[in-house]
Amino acid sequence: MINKLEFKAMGCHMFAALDSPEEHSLPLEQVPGWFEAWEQSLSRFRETSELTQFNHSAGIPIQVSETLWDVLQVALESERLSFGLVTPAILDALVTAGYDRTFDQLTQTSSYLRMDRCASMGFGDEVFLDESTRTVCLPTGMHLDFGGVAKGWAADQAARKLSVFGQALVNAGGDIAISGPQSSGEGWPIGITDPFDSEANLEILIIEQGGVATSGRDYRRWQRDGMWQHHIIDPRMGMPAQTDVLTATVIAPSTVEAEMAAKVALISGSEAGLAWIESNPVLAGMLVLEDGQRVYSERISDYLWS
Amino acid sequence: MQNKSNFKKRDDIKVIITAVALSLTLAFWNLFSTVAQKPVPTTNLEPTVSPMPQVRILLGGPPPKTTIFVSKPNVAPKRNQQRAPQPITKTRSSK
Repeated sequence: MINKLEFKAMGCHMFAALDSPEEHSLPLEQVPGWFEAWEQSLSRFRETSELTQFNHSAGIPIQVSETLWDVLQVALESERLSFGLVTPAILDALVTAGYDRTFDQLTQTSSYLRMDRCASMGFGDEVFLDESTRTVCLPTGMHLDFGGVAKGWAADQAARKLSVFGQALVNAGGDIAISGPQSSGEGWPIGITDPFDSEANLEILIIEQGGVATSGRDYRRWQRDGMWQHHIIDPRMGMPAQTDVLTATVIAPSTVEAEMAAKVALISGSEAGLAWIESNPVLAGMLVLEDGQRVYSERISDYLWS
Repeated sequence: MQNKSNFKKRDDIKVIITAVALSLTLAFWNLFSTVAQKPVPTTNLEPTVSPMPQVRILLGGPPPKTTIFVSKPNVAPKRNQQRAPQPITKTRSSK
């Protein structure tokens, strides 16, 4: 029997499903509480969050919580695997582009505070980490935004915690973690939303385990000085990525990897992005281009339903 | 009258010579094109996005094999399901 729960957290729509032999809603009821605790630690939009305090303390060694430490490690690994294309050190660039409040607030206002500070880039080589005491020191001028990394990490964590009670699927705003196949032995059917028609599915994936994530510039976008901006920052430019890819969907062994890979594909553009996915044997993906054309990696045939 | 008959005979000879020449040309062409022809690959027809196959015109020899070009990977049906399953959830950019 599949129990389901929907709720809102981290500024996104969340969904959790648990496949257990009997009605077992108690574990699912804990999930919003987990997300609330993680958000309180990882959100840059909450003045009282640990991340906000941490960003205010750049240049000073700070002992951080286990949650913040874990996500920092994931962010470091993502930066390493993506050759610096996916980094949390993009907060200033996001604020400069106009993303200085939650997306819900952003779409209700018409003018935004311009920040003159230059975008600070680079992360892994500049941050000081002491694992024995979980102490971190950001270089002065660096501010972090975990964004998609935090959502992917949270989805992975929630699915792992739920898997004690049965196989689980957790969707954190489009980043999906799957702990294992359903009790029937089947994979979980997951739709890939059409960026031109949010009610339609472009494809249906059948995934038994791992993560799938979509990165796109179709929804979180806004106008600033008459120019369209979006939330996927190209760290090489310090501004929203200029790319022919509208959305990138990637399947990977974990949600954090899928999220990172989808961003790399989007930032890199269709040709280089698809080549990068193909070059990594644990990844499979599909890109939707601006003109509506779809481009598939070879390995995605293992997951497509037809 | 005799002159007219001679002309007709000459025309017939011309036609015969032309026919023989054409037949010989085609026969030799077939013979040599078959020898020079490389075998058409029957395996490793990799899917490719290129819609521009190399065209080779053959006279004689076996007919060229049909090459299929695809832009989407072949997808094996999942567990013989006839109807698309209802997705339990969707992936999309953050919403």
